Amino acid sequence: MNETENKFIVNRAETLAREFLTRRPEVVIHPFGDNDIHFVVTLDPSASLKIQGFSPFGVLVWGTDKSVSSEKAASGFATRQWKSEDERSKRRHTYFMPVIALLYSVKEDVGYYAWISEPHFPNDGPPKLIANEDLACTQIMRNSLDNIVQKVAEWYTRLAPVVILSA
Amino acid sequence: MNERDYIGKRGEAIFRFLITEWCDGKPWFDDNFLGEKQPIKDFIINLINPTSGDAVFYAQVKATNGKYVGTGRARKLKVKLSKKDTAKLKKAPGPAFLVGIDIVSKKGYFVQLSARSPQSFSSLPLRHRLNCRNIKKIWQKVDDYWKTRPMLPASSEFEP
Repeated sequence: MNETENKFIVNRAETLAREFLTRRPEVVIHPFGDNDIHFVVTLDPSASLKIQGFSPFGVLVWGTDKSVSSEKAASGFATRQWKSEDERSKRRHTYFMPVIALLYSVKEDVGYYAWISEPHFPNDGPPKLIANEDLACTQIMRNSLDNIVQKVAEWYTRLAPVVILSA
Repeated sequence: MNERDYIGKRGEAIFRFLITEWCDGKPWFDDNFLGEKQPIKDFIINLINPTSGDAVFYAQVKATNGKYVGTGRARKLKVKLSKKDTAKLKKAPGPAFLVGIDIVSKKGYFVQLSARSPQSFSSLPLRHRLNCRNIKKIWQKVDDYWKTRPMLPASSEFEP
């Protein structure tokens, strides 16, 4: 694949990501000029989303002109992509906020998402983030953004009393 | 973000989604958002691999959340472009399109501005939908337009 073809794949994947992320009005996209994370997304409080303060999550966007016909195939592709990014930057990525990857097959407009830095809610302790090495992709459906937003919102809601000390 | 701003942002995202669709396995257009820098021309759209060398068109995008007027064949998307803005869009230095986006159905409709276009728009007909068939037709029309208008002057007083 030449550089121009690759540019159109990247552009189309980013366009599909923007279409996906703007499905909810509370989601605000901030382009992040960094090779590591493509967008930082914040959540605005609303009637349907009770959240306080600045609640960002990161988004990585990957595109391919190959067919990605199943969640298993997408997971394999995303895991390889994620490991190659670690190798390219010669360091392990560490995030202190939730991060997702969006993967698009641009010829078919089929999309998948996977948690890279995944909110986790242990029964006996404060909320955590799981740094996933193997990515498990879920095909993007009508309720996918709702599920992502709810999980991020819950993580920040549970994190607040752990990190904020009221005077 | 208020509702009006959200409809505008969502309309932009859906327009980009529709105009950069890969048809027959390849991309046809590359979009460049001009936004506030060019108030009446939201986007400049580049043709990918035009035969004319370099070819663009301008697009003004108006969005609505599922609002239509009329019924049956007379049904139209309820988007507006004022007399002043229509006049400005008609003066674009190349082919110019008004695109209406319904953010509820994720569909887009368009008209090309011409000397015969009305002085303003209060709605947009549903005759020309932004889909693969029309993406290829727009590409061809815009390429034809630029092919007949070479940009290189025949001569110049600043010649070497």
